[in-house]
Amino acid sequence: MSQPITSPRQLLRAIGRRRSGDYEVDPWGADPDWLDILSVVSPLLRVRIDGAERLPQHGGALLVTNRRVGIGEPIALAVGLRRQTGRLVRPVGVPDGKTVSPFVRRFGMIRSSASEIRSVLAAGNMVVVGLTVSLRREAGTVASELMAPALELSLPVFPIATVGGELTGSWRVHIGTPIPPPSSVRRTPLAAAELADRARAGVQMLLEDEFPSRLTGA
Amino acid sequence: MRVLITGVGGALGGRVASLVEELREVEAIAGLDVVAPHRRLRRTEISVVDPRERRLVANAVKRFQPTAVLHLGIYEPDARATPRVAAERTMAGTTTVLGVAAEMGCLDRIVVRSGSEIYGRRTNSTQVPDESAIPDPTSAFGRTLLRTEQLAQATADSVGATCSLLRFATIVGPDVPSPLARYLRLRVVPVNGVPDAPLALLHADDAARAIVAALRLQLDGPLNVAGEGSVTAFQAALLGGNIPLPTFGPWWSVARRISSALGSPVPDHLLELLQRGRVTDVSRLQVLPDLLPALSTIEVARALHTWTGESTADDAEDSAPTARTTAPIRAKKKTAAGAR
Repeated sequence: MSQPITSPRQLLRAIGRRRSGDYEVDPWGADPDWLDILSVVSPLLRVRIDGAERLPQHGGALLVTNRRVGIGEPIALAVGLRRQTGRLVRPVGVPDGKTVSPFVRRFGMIRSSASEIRSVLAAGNMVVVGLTVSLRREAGTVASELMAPALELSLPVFPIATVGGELTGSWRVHIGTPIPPPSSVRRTPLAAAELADRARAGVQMLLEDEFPSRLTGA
Repeated sequence: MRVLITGVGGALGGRVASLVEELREVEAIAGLDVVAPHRRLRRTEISVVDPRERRLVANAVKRFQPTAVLHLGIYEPDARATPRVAAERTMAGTTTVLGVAAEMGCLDRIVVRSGSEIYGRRTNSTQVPDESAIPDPTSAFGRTLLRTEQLAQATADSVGATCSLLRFATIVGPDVPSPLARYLRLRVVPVNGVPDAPLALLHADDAARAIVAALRLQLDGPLNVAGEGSVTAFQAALLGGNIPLPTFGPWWSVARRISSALGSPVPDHLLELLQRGRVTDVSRLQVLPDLLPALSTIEVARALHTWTGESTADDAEDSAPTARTTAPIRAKKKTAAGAR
């Protein structure tokens, strides 16, 4: 995977690569240059990340974050982590189709399906799953089948709290400690559901611990 | 081991026959196809026969009594024949060759050249399917591949043989008649809007090595084989210095007609590839190093534009596919070396 673009000179080089066709598009349609160019031309998007050192430098991991409206949080998280760690992080939630899908996939997004998440994780990517929308800034829920691939592949699951706003473009992200894998080697739907519950509880705890005044009005 | 190779006259079949001739454990080799192979084969006994001539094909198989069948007689639409003729040849050849070989009672392994078109690209289908994905083809070629796999598997099950189903990415090579390769070599290449979806490619040499490895290892079941990584049609056109032309909705039918008039027809499986992409999960290859392709997809895409074109014999058949099919070819038995 190419290195992230962090300077105008690298941006010019990336544009040159585009003209010759000498660039990367991975099997799921992601093109890291698109994400980087978006980052460079969007100085208004400010993401502060705490705890990025907890993430693995290589290999797959499943990141679970809260959502308030839309997919702003997963995208802000993906852009911020790309800038800070250089890794391509893939938010879940792209629709399938001939027109919209290939466009959104260029930014690293993938479809919300267990088989696709499994193949992306197995290829050593980090995947961001958003909890269901919660306007009250409480952690929503997550479908257990989306957690099953991490269980099957024995990969770490990180709860993440993301707070900010699409209007201000300012986001604050706190990455929690990874949820320990189940003590047994169970790969059942119940084990996946329990993992989903623990991920949700982890996100809720982060939201309450890290942003108490904004969450509770205390 | 007595190996029968169908489709031996094609670029892939010829490569495979050359490799099989080097295997010590193979005591005899026979090949069937509508044309003789272009390369010099010393040990392969060639029968030039149209697969739709059931009696002639059956006689050739009975005479040879194969213990292994490499079924490469899978004719891609608009590669060497029109879509209708290609489907007829594929299905007739599959039914007759495998059926008669099974009746001989000595068949112990089948290797089938299948393709990633078998997975289809229905809405909400898996973007990168692995071998566990249920085939759900959405093109005529994909449906032909599915029927071929089903027939081969049923035949293998009936005699207790192994059946290796190699699902290749689009195969291209310097002498391979490929609708995709012809299309990407156009000066102006219509591609799907902005942006287009990724696809995977496989070099014919890598495909041939994979087939021979599957024969030797006696693999059983489906296996995806593709060059590492992916490329888009837009990117592949740029790599050759050609001009990608973003195309939308109804403009595709105009683009198809113009492309066809320029000598590069676009069958439905190619249109599907251009609009939806086609990549498969090849992680199982990591534990089968003999089948790992040497060239990645982007290396194949770069090389695609350096090849001078397809061979004369294939071009001749491309230019007159109906003449070949309306005049049945008499079965004749000869060695390729002797024919020269």
